[in-house]
Amino acid sequence: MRPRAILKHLTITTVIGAFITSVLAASVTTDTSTENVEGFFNKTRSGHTNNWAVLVCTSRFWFNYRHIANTLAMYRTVKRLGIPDSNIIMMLADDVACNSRNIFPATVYNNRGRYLDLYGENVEVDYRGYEVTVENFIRLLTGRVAKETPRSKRLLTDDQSNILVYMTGHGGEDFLKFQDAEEISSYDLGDAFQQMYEKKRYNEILFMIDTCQANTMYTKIHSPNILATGSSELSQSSYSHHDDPDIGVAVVDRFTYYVLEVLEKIDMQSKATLKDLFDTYNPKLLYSNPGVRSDLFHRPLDQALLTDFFGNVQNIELTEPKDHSSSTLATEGDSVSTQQVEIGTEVEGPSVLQIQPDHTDNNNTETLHQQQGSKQPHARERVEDHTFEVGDSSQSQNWRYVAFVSLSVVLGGALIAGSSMI
Amino acid sequence: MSTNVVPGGQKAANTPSNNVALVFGAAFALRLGLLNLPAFPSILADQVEISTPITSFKRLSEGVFLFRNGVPPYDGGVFHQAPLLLGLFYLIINSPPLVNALYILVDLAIGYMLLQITAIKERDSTSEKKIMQYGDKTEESGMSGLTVASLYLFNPFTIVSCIGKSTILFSNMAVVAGIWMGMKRNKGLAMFSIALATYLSFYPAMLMIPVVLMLTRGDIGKQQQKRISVQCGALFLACLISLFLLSFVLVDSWSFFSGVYGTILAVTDLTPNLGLLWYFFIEMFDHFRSFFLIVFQLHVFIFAVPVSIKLWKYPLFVSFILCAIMGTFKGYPSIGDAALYLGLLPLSSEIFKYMRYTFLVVNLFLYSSLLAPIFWYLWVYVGSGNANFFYAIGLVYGIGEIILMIDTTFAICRRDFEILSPPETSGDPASLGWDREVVQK
Amino acid sequence: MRPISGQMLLSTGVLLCIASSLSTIADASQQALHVKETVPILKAPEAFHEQLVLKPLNDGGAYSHFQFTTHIGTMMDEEHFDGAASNLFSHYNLFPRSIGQILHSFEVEELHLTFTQGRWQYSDWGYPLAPSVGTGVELWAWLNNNRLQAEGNWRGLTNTLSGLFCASLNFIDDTISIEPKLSFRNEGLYNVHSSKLSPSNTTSTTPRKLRYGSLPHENVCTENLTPWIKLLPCKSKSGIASLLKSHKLFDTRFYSMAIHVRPVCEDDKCKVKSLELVQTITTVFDVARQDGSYDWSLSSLFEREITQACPLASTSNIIVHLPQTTQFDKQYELTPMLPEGRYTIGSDENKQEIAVYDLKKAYSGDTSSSSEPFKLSMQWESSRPKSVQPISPGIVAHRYFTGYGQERGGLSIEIYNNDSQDVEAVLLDTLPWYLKLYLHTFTVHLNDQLLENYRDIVKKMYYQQAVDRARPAVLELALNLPSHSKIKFSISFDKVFLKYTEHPPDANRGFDIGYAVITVPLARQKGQIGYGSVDHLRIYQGRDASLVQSRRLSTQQQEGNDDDNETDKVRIYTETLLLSLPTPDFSMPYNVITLTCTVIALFFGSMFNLMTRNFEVVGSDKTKGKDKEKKDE
Repeated sequence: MRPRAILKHLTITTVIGAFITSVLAASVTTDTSTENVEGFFNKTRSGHTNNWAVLVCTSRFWFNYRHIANTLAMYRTVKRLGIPDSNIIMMLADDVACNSRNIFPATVYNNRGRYLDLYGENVEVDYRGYEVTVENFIRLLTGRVAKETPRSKRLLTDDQSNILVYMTGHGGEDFLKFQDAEEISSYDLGDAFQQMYEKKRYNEILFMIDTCQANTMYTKIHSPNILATGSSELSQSSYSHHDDPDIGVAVVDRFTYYVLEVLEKIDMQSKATLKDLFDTYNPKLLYSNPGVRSDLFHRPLDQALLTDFFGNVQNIELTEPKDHSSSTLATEGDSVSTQQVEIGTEVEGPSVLQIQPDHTDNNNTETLHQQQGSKQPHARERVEDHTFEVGDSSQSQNWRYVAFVSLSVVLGGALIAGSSMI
Repeated sequence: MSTNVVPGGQKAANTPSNNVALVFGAAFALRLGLLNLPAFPSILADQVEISTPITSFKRLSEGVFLFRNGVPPYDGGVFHQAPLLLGLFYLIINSPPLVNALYILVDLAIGYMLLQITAIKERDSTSEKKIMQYGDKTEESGMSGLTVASLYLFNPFTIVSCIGKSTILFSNMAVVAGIWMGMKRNKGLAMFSIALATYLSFYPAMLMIPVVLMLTRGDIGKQQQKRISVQCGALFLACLISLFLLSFVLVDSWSFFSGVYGTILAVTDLTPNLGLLWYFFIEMFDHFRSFFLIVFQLHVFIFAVPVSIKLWKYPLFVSFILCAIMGTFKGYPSIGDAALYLGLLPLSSEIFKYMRYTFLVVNLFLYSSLLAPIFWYLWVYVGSGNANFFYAIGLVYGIGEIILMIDTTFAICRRDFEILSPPETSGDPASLGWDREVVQK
Repeated sequence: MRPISGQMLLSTGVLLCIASSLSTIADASQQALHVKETVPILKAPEAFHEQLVLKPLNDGGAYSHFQFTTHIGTMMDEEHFDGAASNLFSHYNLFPRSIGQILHSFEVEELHLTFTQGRWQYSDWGYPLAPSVGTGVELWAWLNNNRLQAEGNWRGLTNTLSGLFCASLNFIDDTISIEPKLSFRNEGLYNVHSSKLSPSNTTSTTPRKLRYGSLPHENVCTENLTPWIKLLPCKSKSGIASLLKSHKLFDTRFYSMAIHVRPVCEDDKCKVKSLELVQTITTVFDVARQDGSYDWSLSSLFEREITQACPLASTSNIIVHLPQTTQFDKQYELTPMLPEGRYTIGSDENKQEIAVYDLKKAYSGDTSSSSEPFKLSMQWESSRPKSVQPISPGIVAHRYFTGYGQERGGLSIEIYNNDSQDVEAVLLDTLPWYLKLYLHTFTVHLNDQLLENYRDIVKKMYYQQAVDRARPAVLELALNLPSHSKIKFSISFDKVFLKYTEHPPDANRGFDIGYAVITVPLARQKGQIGYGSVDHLRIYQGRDASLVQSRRLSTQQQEGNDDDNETDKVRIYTETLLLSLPTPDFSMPYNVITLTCTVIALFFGSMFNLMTRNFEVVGSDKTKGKDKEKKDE
């Protein structure tokens, strides 16, 4: 009896002990991994898990070739540094590659030597031509797009996304011209960013703008975690760098040219910081005074990496295991947690955002037309047919006319008779 | 000293009836001649000052063609005119002589009606007290009927509007018929005419007030006046509803409401004209469009009641001023609207001597009429001018009309003051005359 | 108690472990069961075919036509086949998933999307092999209308395609979309919902809706080509698609790229059905531009080389239409010339000679990755084409504006019938709402003489009126064109004055007016390669030309057409036009508001003044003191 009882107790205690140690081991391992995780999310670190880029060229017409070239050069740079097409929204207001004035069809170059074709074979332009409007741009940033907008035209960011917003075109004091027909003001931009902040649509934003009097565009931003840089101050113009006599127009702007010079030298693993980039700004070369606004940016600039915005190097995020019961009863060999490893692949953004945020106003369900701003009654289904056959007048038409004439005669007679009586 | 008591219409007709025949014959011949010129009518019909989207003959032809061929005319954005016009032109649209004859007849009918209105007015005025001009000289009598009719028939605006075959002519005829019947105290026909005018172009609805004033003028008790007014209101509604029903029978659908009245009120077609609204709504942002639309359409109607209250003794003048307001501020004004109120103006010819800006008004009308087609041509055909040219001349034309309206209203108020407080009652020597200084307080 | 508690603990622990593992297994198996439930009953093979057709043109240009056909695999039997609702689209092997998902979610039965740059010169080049050659983007689809949601589906379809192909297809909305009555009939080889073809079909005839839209000003560039290539199974890595280089493709006189999706039958009785995706690229190269020589080769045209056939392709051919020379045979030399790959079809005037190169056979022995590139070239004698039989297309059409000024104008369409027979054609013209058409000014001129009664030529006329900012105007005519004649249709219109915001940013450029489409039946001899609909393109696959003919004959017999000759329905596209509308002054909005409101306020103020104030007499010079009398009104 006694040994059996002792055996029983021993087995029970060993089982319980093993169970407890396994749980403790699990918790300990999680603890160490939590330490590793905390190491990722230091204050000096960015804290982002995915990168997006919004590249906007707002100029139309052939002589603004250089703005398209600027944007495409940025596109190529961020793609090279790892951001996939699904995370890049590119808006080009005009098509210069297949323009009939382009003597090198399907190409865009940003240097006279034509070393590199920026258009290439694999380019994705999300908003093009007349679609590039102020309304579409602000809707894109704030997420208030129409219901039918396809995924590639939405900015599906979350509060752990770092966004690079690059804009180029013609501008002035507190405004930027869109397609020579309308303007976006710095207040609009500030409001859009504030909406993004309230909706937790970004972790950090780098706003880069290359136009005349560009620095005025970021003076009205008031949301945190935004770093802005512009190419010229108030009452200064930004200049183009050089032109290509074969193409016939200027092919790149100075500010973008020198920024690209820095960016071309880094790769995905580079530890170059934004301070390095800003230190290379040379007003003598740029013919204008570029500026940086960092008061809203909480991190010191010498610790913010260039690849935090231009590249797609991400940290690993460990999340809670989904099924608590299975984890407590599982043996140690079982998975501790479900790891979501997001590295720059072709996969669309984090799985958190499978649901497309539908921020359209209830009153504003109009589709995004641009210059054809017509409101369509979506709720009403078009059932009637408005096509008619044009034929000789049918019999019923004639009969109707006869009825009309007789009725009018009768009524007229009644009127005259009645009026004489009254 | 002795006033010429004109016993009435017969006397007026007896005094040279040859003159009447001469005038009307000349008008007939002139119009016939001009209509038969090879290209002139179509050139005029194409001018935007003459034909607007709701009065264009080309669109009427299109509507009739579609209607005859089984396509509902109100299903599209081209035809915006009342269905009864479809019925009127159904059989005759393909024969130009008949169409020309119809337009000439309508124009002459308006002239004739003006003649008759003047006769009735002269008859009425014999019973009124005469104003003394200077001491013992009485005021001169107003224009004779023939003068009024010939001023209308030979007004270049009228002729050009008739040759251009603008369908505003039918609405004008209904308005003048309403005034005539009102003067003749025929309630039924008066209300029918006004209902017809409303049915054709919507704005004449406010002419119901002066016509009721005409019907209840003179020494009639308050009770009787009220009864007549109520009867008129009911008659107006009944006529309007029967017109709508008749239209439904013809086109077999109610879509003409939105096609006709929707376009008139909402000004959806922004073809330029001599009005103030087209450029305003071209340049307006969509956000504010409905607000300004409502304000402008209300602006046309809000003057009806105040003017009628203030000038209830002069219903002919009230009808003139309301037609002028209509012709200036409606959605699609044209020269035809000007022809109407310029034809009604001589009915109140006594006020001419109190008008202060006659020269200015005449010049403004002249300038704008001559320059408008030129600026249009520069903008639309040559390309060396832009839309602002035509818009500016439209503003000048509008200012001319406005000054005319203000001046005439001032004149009638002044005359009213003269009637009510002639110099002898106010203690002034009679020699001061009718042009003593007054000031507004 | 103690033993009970200990044993209980142990046993419960073991039980729980077993239970959890069982549940997970059950879960997994349930999912597996779910999949297995809907097993297809009939199976048709999935296949991918690629062809390249090359044809030297009269004026020396080189016409190249790429064609890639993919069939989707699993099928159901008749009762279950509903392109929209079946699990047809749950397993993708060769068929691109993006297209399949679009077809499924928007209930699209047939889809045709074409991107074109340049204008097809009918008089010089004859008829094209591609069915749609209208400049700009053309999109038309047959949608299942069973839930009356065709409008929402069309909108969703255009937006999704705009995201997929990086084009502004979202501009195809109600103001542009139309529903033609006689043109653009469905090209599927059978009607899924028709009771005619399959007597055992018990499904109800769900209505289908045709929606058509075109954007004449849409430009085509590499960003449209990139997703198109990604739809191919082999992408551009191997096979014929490796020739697709954007720098050469967009440097052509004419470039057209299309996808056509339609349901087809796999066998004679149409027991086995499949969904067919045909992707085509059609270009006309300006060969002589470089150095004046009209000789061409694959590498000179495309600057790329084929090193192997696509491994996933069932057939991979290059087909050359040999030019018909009038004088002597050896005008040109085609290398390599394979005697067994040469066929002659037809006779005399309609003779067609084609040379077929089978890449599968050429590269069948080679399993190594490095293989010789496929070389194909044509040299003309003294580098110029001479005595090539001229092409005389039967029907040629042109369209142009008449009139002057920015207020009104006229539109004229000229159709030349060079055939020796009368031809029945259908003319479809869509005009945007900013042109107000006057149908009563429609006239017909036959050989430059005005026809009073045109009912002999215009058999039927369908007209949809335009509504401002809501619908375009559509004019569809069923015509009978007399032989050897020129017919001109004219109609006049007024130009609409647009609002400030409705003008595009480059307002002074004007607006593009889309092409008119003339659908003409074209007879051809049995077995010949025809033009027109997507049907004949199957002939290039070499596999079931006879199948296509038999299906076509059976449908013709059912429609009551007993012709022996086959007819293709060719679509002839006219030019697009540029219309300049009068522009307001764009710098003036606030000025206009201010000025107009000032004028109105001038009137209002003065009138108000007059209405509310009374007159008083001012003392005259002669009287002393002031005599004031106020009259109460």
